[in-house]
Amino acid sequence: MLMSCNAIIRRSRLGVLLAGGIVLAACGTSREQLLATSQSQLQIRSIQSRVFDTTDREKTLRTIVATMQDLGFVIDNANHTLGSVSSTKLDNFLLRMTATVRPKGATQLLVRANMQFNLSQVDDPEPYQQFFTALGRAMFLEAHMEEGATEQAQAEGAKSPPASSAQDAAIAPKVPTPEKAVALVEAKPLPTPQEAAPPGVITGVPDVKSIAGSWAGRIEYGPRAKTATGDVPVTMTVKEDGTYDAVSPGRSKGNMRVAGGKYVLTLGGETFRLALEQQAGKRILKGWNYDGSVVCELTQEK
Amino acid sequence: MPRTRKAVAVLCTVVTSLSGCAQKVPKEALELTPESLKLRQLQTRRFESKDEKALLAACAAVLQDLEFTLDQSETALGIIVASKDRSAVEAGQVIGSIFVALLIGVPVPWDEKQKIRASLVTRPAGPDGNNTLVRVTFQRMVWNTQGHVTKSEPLDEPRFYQEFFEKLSKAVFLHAHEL
Repeated sequence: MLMSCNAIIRRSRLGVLLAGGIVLAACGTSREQLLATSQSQLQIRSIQSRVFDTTDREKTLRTIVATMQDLGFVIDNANHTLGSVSSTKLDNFLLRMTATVRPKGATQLLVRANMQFNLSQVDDPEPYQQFFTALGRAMFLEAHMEEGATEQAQAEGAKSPPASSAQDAAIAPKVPTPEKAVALVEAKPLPTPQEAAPPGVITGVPDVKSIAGSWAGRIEYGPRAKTATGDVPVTMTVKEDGTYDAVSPGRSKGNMRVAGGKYVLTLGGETFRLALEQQAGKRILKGWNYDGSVVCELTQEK
Repeated sequence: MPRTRKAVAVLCTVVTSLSGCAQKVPKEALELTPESLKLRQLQTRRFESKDEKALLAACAAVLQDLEFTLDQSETALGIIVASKDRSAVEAGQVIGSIFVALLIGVPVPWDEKQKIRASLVTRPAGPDGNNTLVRVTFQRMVWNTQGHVTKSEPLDEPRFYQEFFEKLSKAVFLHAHEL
C-alpha cells in the first residue's frame, strides 16, 4: 500500500496515453486507407445504387450531369465509354462524387454513386437518397419528354401514374414505397418553356375559357414541401373570365393566368403551373409548384 | 493530480479533432431549392442550333479566349472542363497581414494563388432536339502563402455568366436565349 502518489499519477498518465493511442489507432495508419472500407460492401452498395427502368445510357448519363449541376456540383470529368461522371461541390467543404451507369439485365440500368466529404467516404444513406430523388425526377422529365407516349400508356395500363418509368426500384432498404415514389418522381422541377409538351397534352394557345367548369382532384405534398404534408382533396370551379374558386380544404380564390403554355393559379398557398391533358376521354389539369415539391392534379367533372 | 487532468483534457481535444474521420454532409448540400432554379437560369442559355459539336467547339474557343486551359473533355456527353491558375493576392489583405504581423510578431499568411475552374455542359433540347442548352459553372479554390486552402467556393456573380454568354453568342453568331 506504499504506492506513492507520484506512481499513481504516472500510471494514470500512461493509461491516458494508451487510451488515446488506441482511439487514434482506430483510424489506422494512413497507408492502410488505400484498401480501407467502412461498412460491409453489400450494405454500402445498396445505399449507393438504384435501378432505373430505361436502357438509354446516354440520356441517363446526361441526366446525371444535369442533376449534379442543379445540385451545385461542378463537373470534373465524364466518360461516355466508361459510363462515369465525376463532380465536385465546393462550399467551404469539399464534396466529391462519382456516378457510374451500367446495364442491369436487358431492360434496366443501374446507377451507382459514391461520395466523399472532405477526407472521408459518405456512408450515411441520406445524401444518396437526396441525390437519387433529384435524379429520379429529372429522369422522369426526360422519359416523359422523349418516350412519353409508350411510357404513359404503360403507366396508365398499370393503373399507376408514370412513376414506373423512372422510379427507384428496390435494391436499397431506404427506397421509397411505390406510392411515395409516384409523388417523388412526378414532382419534377419547372420545365423550361421550350420543352416539348408531353403527348396527351393539348397544345396550342391555352385559353381560360376552354377550362371553365368544375374540377376535382388532389394536391400532393412531397417530403420537401414547406406548406403541408400528405395529400388533400381539392374541388374548384372556373368561370369563363378565368376567375376560380377552390376548396383545398381552405378556400382559394383568384384570377387564373396563362404563361408559357400553362395555367398559373394559387391553391392552398402554393402557386401551380398546370398543363391541360386529355386522357381516356377525360380532361386533366396537371402540374407542380416552383420546385416540384407539391403536385396538383385535377379532373374535369361532367 | 491537476496535471493529469490537464493531460486528459489535452488528449481529449486532440482525439476529438482527429476523430473527424466521420463528418456529416450538410443536408442542404444535396437539396434542390428555389435558389438552385435561379442558378440554373443564370448559368444556362438556349441556342437555336442542333449542332452540339460545333457549339461545344465554340465554347472551347471562348474558354481559351478567357485564358482557360482545357483539363478534360468528352464530346459524346457534351462536356468541357477547363481551369486557370492565377494570383489571388489582394493589396488590402497583404497590407492587413503585414500590419497584424508587426503587431503580434508572427508572420500572418495572406491569399497567394487560386485555381479557377469552369465546367461546361451542352445538351440537346426542344421538341425535336433542334435547340441546344449550354450550362457553364465556375468555382475556385484559394491557397494562402503557407499553402493552406482558405477559400473553396462557387462563383455565382451574374456578370461572370452574362459576359461568358455574350462572348459565346458573338462567337457562334446566334442569340443566347435565357430560360
